[in-house]
Amino acid sequence: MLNFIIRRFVFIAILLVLVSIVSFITIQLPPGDWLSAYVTALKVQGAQINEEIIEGLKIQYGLELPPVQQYFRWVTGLLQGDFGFSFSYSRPVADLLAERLPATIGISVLTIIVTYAIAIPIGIYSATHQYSPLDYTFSFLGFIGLSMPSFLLALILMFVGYKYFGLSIGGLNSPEFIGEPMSWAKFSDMLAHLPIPILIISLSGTAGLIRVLRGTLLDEIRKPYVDTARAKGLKERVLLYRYPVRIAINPLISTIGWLLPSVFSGQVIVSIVLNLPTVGPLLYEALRGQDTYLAGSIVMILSFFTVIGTLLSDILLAIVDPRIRIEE
Amino acid sequence: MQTPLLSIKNLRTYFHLDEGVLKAVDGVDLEMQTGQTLGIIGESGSGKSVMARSVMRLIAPPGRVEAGSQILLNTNDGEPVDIAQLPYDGDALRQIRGKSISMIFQEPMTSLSPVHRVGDQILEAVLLHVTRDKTEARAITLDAIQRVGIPNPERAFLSYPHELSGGLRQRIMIAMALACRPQLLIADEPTTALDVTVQWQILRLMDALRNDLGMAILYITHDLGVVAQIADTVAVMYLGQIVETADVFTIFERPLHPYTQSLLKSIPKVGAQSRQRLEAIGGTVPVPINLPVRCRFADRCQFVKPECSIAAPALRLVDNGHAVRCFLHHQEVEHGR
Amino acid sequence: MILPKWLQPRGWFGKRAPAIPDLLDESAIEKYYVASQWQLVWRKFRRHRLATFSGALLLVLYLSAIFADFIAPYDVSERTDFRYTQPQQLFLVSPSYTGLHVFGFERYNDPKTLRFMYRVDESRPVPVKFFVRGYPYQLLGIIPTDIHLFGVEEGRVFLFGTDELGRDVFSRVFIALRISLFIGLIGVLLSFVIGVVLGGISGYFGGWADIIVQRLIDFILSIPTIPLWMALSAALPPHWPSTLVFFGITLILSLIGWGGVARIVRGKFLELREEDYVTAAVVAGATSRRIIFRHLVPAFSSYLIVQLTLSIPGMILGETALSFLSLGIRAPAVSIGTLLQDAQNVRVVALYPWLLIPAVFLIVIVLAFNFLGDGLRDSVDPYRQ
Repeated sequence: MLNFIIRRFVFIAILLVLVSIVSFITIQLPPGDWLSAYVTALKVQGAQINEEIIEGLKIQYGLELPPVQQYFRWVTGLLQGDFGFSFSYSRPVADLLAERLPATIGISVLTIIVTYAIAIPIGIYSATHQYSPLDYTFSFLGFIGLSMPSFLLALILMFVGYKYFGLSIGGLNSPEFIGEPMSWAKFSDMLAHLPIPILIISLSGTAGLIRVLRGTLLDEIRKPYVDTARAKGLKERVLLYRYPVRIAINPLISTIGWLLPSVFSGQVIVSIVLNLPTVGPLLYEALRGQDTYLAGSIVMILSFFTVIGTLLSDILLAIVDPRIRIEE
Repeated sequence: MQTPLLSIKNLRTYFHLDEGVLKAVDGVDLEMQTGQTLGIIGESGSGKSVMARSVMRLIAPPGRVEAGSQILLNTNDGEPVDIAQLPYDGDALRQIRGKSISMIFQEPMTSLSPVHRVGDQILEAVLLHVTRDKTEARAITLDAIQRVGIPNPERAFLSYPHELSGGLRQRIMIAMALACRPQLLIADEPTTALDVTVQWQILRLMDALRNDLGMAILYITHDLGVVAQIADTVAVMYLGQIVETADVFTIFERPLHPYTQSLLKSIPKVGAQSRQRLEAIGGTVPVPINLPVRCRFADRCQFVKPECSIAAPALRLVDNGHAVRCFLHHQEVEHGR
Repeated sequence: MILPKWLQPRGWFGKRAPAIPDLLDESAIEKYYVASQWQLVWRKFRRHRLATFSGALLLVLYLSAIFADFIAPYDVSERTDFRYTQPQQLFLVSPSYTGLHVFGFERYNDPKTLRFMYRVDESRPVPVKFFVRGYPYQLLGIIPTDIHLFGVEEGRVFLFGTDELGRDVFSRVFIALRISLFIGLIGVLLSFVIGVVLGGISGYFGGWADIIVQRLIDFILSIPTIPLWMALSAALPPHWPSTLVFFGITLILSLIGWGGVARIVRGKFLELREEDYVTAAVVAGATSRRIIFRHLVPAFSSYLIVQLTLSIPGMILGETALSFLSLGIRAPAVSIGTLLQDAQNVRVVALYPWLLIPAVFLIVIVLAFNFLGDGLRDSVDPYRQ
C-alpha cells in the first residue's frame, strides 16, 4: 500500500512538471511577447514610456533569454509563489488568484457534492426500478443533461428568469452587495444566488454519473454473488445495499477526482456566462487581452488542482477496493 | 415409506418474454428423502438450473414460478411448507433460505462478493440463522471453514475471494452453505469451473459432509461422470421436463429413453476402439417457446414413431422406481399441460 | 490502467428482450444462425426506433450541411435593412392567396419604446417558389450555379427571422451546420488516428512504451479541457484566414481529445488479446495477419465505431463553446457557436428569442448522436442478449 502511494506521488510529480510545461507553452504561444503588446497598448493610450523601463522589464522577466531558461525562471518563481505580473490589472497574478480561488474551489466542491447527492439516489432508484415510468423520465432527462452544454443552459435559464420572472441570474451577489465587506446579509444573499449556477455546472456530471451508476448497478444486481446473498436468507433491501450498491458505488465515490477536470471546465465557462467571481472570467479576459502570465497561471493552477484531486481519489480507491491494490 | 424431505409437484417456471412464453421448467415432479443425493442431468438449456433455482425461489422477472406449482418442504418442526406459495421476501421464505436449504453455484469466483472478506460472508449467514452472538458465530464459521478441509481457517477467514484459488473458493462456498446445517443442499454445477482433480476432491468432500450432517443433496450437472460418482438417484431433464428417472445403476446400465441412451453414448470410454467416433446427438436443443403438443425429443430421436408427433408421452413408472417419458415403453399420453 | 468496466458506458434506452427467431420457421432459424455480423447488428439496430430515427436525422442534417448553399436562400454575410425581423410563418392557403407563401411586412417605429417594429401585412402575400435564382455559389465547391432550393422573387423570406445586421438566420444556421457538424467528425477522426496509433503502440509493445503512453493518457485526461482549449485557441494568430483557423481549432480539439480514444483502444486491445478465440486462433496456427484482420478487426471495429459516435458530441460542444466565447471560428466563417454569440445578451434574447434557434439545432444534433451511439452500442454485440 505504501509502495503504491509512493509510486503515485512520483507519477504526480511528473504530471505536475508536464502541466507546468503546457501552461508555459500557453504563455509563450501568442505571437510576439506580451511586453511589446503591452507597450503598444500603452502608446495607443498616449502614455509616455521610458525605454529604460522597458529594458528593465525585459531583464526582470528574462524575455531576452532562450525559452528553456525562461521556463526555469518561471518555474522557480512559481515555487516561491511568484506567478508573474498581470498587465491588464497592473497587479501581481498571485494576488488576483488569491481573490478568486476561494470562490472557484468553493463552487467546485459544492458542485461535486450536489452531483453525488442527486446522482446516487436517482441511479439506485433507476436501476432497481428498471423500465418504470420514473426510470424512463430520469433517463430522458439524463440524455437532455448530457446533450445540453452548460453555457447554453445558463443562457436559457437567464433568458427564462429575465423574461418571465424579471430576475437577473448573473453573479454571486446582488448589485448592492458588490464591493461590500462580507456580512451576514451578504452571505445569505450569496446563498440565494448559489443554487442555480451549481445546478447548471453539475448537470452534465450528474447525468453522466446516473447513467454510469444505473448501468453498473444493473450489471451488479445480476451477478451471482447477489443470489448467494439471497440464498443466505438476507432481506432484499439489506442485500441490495450491502452487496451490489456498495460495489457499484465504491468506484464512483473514490474516483471523485476524475470529475474535477470536467467540473473545472464547466465552471470556467458557466462563470463567464453568469459572471461569477471565479477564475473563469479572469481567464477569459486574460486570453482576450493577451495577459499571458495571468492566463498561463490560471491554466496551471486549475490543472494542479485536478491532478491533486486525481491522486487523492486514486489512493481512496485503493483503500476501499482490495482488488485494485493487487492489480497495481 | 417415510414422508419425503422435499416433494415437488407439477413445478412450472415460465419466462414471459416479448416473443412468447418460454417454458423453462414445464411440469416437473420430484421427491427427495433425507440423506439422499439426487442428480439432475441435462444439456445446457434443459431447464435444470432454473428448476433448482425455483426451489429457492431465486427466479428473477420476467421468470415466474407459475400458479399450481408445489414445492413441499418437510422441515424439522412439524408441518410441511409449500415454498411456491410463500410471499417473496417474506420472513418464512427467508427462514428457509440458508437455514433449511442452502445452495452453491457454478462460478466460485463471481458467487462471492469481491469486496468483503470471505469469513464475514459466511458469518453473515450464521448470524442470521444460528446465533446472534458474534463470538459464537465466529467459532461456528471457523469450524465450517475447517470442516471443508481448509488448513488455516483463521487466515482464510480474513482473505478476500481474489486471494484464493478456485478450489478454495468453492470450498468456502460449501462452508457457507453448510455453516447453518441445512437439511437440503442444492448444488448447481459446483465443479464445472474447476479442473478435474479439484473437482474430484470437492465431490468427495460433499459426499463426506452429507454423511456427517445427514442432509440431502440435489446435484445439478451436465457431466455424467460426476453423477455416477455422487448420486443415488438420477433424473434426466430435457426441455423443461424430466424424461427418465431411476437409481444411478439402472440409468447407466439399462437406460430406456432414447435421449438418455444417446447421452451415454456420447461419453468417451477408456479402452474403446480408438478409431470409433464418439456419437453426438444430432441437432440442438430448441428454445422452448410455442412448442407444439408432441414428444419434445421427437425431432432428434432415432426411434421416432408416428404417434410421437401427435401426442406428448407422460412420465410413467415402467419398473420399480424407473420412470420414463417415451411411447416406446408405454402408451400413456400426458394431458392438460 | 484499463478503462474500468464500470466506466464503460452502456445502453439504456429501448433495450428489449432477445431477438429469438420464430422457432416454427426453420428458414428463420437457419438465417439467424448463419447471418453475418453486420446483418445481425443491423437487425438489432432497427429495433431501436429512437436510434434509427436519430441516425436518419443526422444523415439529413449532414446532407443539408453539404448542400447548405443550395438550401440557404441568402448569403451568410449579406446584410439587409431588416434588422431583427421575426420569423415569418409559411402558409399554404390564406384568404388572399393559395399556394406556398409568406406575408410581407412593414417596419414602423414604436412611439413608446422607440424601437423598430415589424407589422405583418396580410394583404400582401409573397409566394415562395422552389428552385429560384439567388446569390451565386459553387455547389459542392465545384459546380458554379445560382439555383437555390427555395426563395421569393420579390421581397424577402426570413423563415427564422434576422439578426442585428439583418442577416437571414435560416441561411446562417445551415451554413453554420457545416463547420459544427464537420469539426466534430474531423476532430474525432484526428483524435482517433492519434489514439489508435498511441493506444496500439501501448497495447502491442507493452513494457516501457506502454507505461509512457498510459501516463501521457492519464495526463491528458487530468487536465481540464475547456481552459486549455481556450488558451490554445486564443494563441492562434489573429491574421490567419478562417479556413486555417478551422483546422487549427480542429487540431487543438483533437490534440486534447485523443486521450479517451487511446485509452479505449488500448484497453480493448489488451482485452481481446486475452480472448479465448484469439488464443484458439493462435493455437490453430493462424498467422498474425489473419488473427488481426480476421478476428481482432471485426471485434474491434464495431466497438470503435460506437465509441467514436459517442465522442463526436463532445467535440461539437467544445467548438461551440470556443466560438461562443469568440475564441474559436472567426468571421466570415460561421458555426453554431458564433451564431450563439448574438444570444449572449439576455436582454437581446428576451426581445428576439429566435436568436436561440441555432441552440435548438445544437441540442438536437447532440441528442441524436447520443441516441445513435446508444443504439449502436446495444446492437454491435450481436450475440449478447
